[in-house]
Amino acid sequence: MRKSHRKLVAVLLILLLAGIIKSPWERAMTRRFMADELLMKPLDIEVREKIGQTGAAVVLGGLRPVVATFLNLRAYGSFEDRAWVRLEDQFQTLVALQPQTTYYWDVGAWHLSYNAAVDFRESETLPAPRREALYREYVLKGRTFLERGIRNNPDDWTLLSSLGRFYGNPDKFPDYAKSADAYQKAWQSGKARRYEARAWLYSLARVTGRENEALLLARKLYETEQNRVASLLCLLFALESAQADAKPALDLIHAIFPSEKDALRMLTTYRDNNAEQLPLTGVDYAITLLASRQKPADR
Amino acid sequence: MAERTSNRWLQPRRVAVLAMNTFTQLVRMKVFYFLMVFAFIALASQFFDLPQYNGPEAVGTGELQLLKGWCIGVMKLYSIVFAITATALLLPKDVEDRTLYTILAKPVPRIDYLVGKLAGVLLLILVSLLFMDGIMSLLLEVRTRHVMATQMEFAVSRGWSQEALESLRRDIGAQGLTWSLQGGVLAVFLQSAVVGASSLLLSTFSTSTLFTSVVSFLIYLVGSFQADAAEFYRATTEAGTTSFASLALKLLSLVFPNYQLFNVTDVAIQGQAVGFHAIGSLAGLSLFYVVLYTLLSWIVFSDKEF
Repeated sequence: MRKSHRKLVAVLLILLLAGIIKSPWERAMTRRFMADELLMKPLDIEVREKIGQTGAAVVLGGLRPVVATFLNLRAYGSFEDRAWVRLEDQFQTLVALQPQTTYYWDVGAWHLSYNAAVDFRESETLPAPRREALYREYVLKGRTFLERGIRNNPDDWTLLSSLGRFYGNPDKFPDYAKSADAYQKAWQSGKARRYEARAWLYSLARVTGRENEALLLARKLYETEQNRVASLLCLLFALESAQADAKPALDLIHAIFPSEKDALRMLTTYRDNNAEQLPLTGVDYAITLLASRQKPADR
Repeated sequence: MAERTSNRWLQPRRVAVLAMNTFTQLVRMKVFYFLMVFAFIALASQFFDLPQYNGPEAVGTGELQLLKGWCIGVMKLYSIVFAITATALLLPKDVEDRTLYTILAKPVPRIDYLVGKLAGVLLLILVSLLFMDGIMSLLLEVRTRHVMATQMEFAVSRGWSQEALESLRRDIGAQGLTWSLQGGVLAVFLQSAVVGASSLLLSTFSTSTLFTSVVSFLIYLVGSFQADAAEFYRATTEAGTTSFASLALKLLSLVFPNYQLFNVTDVAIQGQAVGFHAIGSLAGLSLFYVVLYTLLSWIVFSDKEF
């Protein structure tokens, strides 16, 4: 055997020996990095096919965010072209590349449930039953997409809040109990805005049979000054009025609203702009009562 | 006595002279022009106003991630390509310029020569990365402040509570300039050090720059792929497929480094925390590879005739 060949064999043997030492070390590091979510799961074959050979090679080289950025730009093009099937496909790939980027989950779900669904419903080229079927299909697709996002990012309050909004929209096959549940989780994460607490109440108030629970929550939220926005005051009034042993309307108005004038203004707006279908018990009566008590100069 | 001391292996002063010489040699090849391109791309990205980041769905931090993604992506590309090509070029160029003969004719241990050469390449990569990191950090800080001001103004106008404002501030801050991001840049450097050392080992076998470069790139790809492949075959083996592929993969994972471990840069770009422990582990592993490959290079190079 020539000297150079002997050296080559020696180098290979040392590499193998070193490999035996380093392999358990690397495996342990991989396990720990995976557990700490410092490494992402390997891409499956389907995603690799979608991003192409070059993209897959770039991803393997550790540049997932860069590939995702380009794909996001392409997805925006699909949004502009209203190519919804392509857009859905691109967002599926995006979240496979970056499952921890909540932005992609949120925007993808919004595109599907809002933009795509409404575009199908307003399409002039499709027959009416097909339009409605596609509308429903895409609303549900967006919701399912968002729920997958939450399973991947259980600690993210923004996705929970979006889910609460999706389920609480009366136009999008609502499920107010699920909406309330999502908002509750978002609020209880301790990171959300005060709005999420109020949104929890607005959804809870629309769940049949849970009005008392909603009333207790409304009373609790009312205790905080910053929560005393018009919608909450009006809803608290409606919930209190719905009680079997409710106080007289005027007593409730004085207890809840800053003044009779404000109460009239707020309750009128609440009743007239109630697209959210919040409870209206006692509101009409209160408006009539307050209007009759207004001084002529105030009317 | 003095003569014996000067022939000692790995004398720091001698290695430093060789490293600085290599550094100067590479600088004269005008590699720093690339940094101008980087600076231009980074600065130009400040003027991109992508519509999807300004829509009602905007979370305000997408543009920061975009900026980090671009910058770290370019840093990684530069450092890997440079580590491979510069290291592959060194020995053949020294032979061609006859510098190698001048050096080896003196009482310079060959291990010092190899370590000096590798250190020179790594020094150049480090200086380049520091420059790029400086530009990225500066631009990121400016952009973060802008995003923070805009988002906070919006949030205050909508009457967000103090806790929600704090949460927003934290979320935007996590996408700005952080130690995790610096850790990500350090991971890029560590990976390029391992790539450079493996390229050095190859160049001691071969006298062709092209061969060394191509094979080094292949090793880089295999190293990036092997963890995925191992996972795939582990699953299929459990499902009862033949063990030949598993054996081949085991062999592969023994010989090649697992470059996927350095992909912690991905999570650093996303604004997640990369702990000192993780960076420390990567540094330890990189040191292991650099020492191993340098020693193997020396075994091959120790009595090589030119």
